[in-house]
Amino acid sequence: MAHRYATSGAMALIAADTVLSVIAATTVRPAIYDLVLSSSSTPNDYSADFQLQRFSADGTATSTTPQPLDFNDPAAVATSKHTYTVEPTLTAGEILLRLSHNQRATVRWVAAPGSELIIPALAGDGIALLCNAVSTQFTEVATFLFEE
Amino acid sequence: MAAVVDAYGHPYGDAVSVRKPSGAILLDGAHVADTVQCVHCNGHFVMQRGSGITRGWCRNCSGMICGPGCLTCRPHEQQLDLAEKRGHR
Repeated sequence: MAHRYATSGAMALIAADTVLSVIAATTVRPAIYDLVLSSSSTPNDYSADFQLQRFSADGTATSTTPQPLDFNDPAAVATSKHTYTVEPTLTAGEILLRLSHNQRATVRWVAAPGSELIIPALAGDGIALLCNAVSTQFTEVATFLFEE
Repeated sequence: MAAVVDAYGHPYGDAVSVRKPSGAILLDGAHVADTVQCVHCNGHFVMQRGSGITRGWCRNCSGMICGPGCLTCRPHEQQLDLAEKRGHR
């Protein structure tokens, strides 16, 4: 049975910057099945546009340890990072989901069983939550749930 | 408050419900749209009335495809296997 994990990160949004990622290893195919986007900034009518995009080589960012949803599960083999300072090598055209939301709204995308976003078991391969555009900078809080 | 729109500027109210959704989008806990998964690229998209975006159907995979860029039948599972065999995508 697949083990399930949660990872999250927060970032002051900048267009064309990655907020959060899940990175595969050669032994596992992580599958993202849930995404939650919200904001921790003072409420305003600002908006931001995001996309989930595949990448083939990781960049520089703050590492975050995925937490198992079941306390008895082992540590995740896949890794995760947030707040990128050097962008990963995004694969052109491989955009898996696009979402925009008002800063006041919490938006969640959840996959039906069997329809998860699967990352190939390749070192450095992953899926990034990229900020396409933001009207006025605010802090976005993003959470991925994935299984491996 | 500004209307809630998707990435293409269409209000979620224009989203079409599908019989077997591959996913769902929820705003403040309320279901606003179903998502459909492309059988070739693995991506999810929202079907919207009048969006003008061309989608398709793969008769080999028996599933929706997200657009003309995914016309060639390369099932996602096969793409994953090939990438892992090659060691890169």
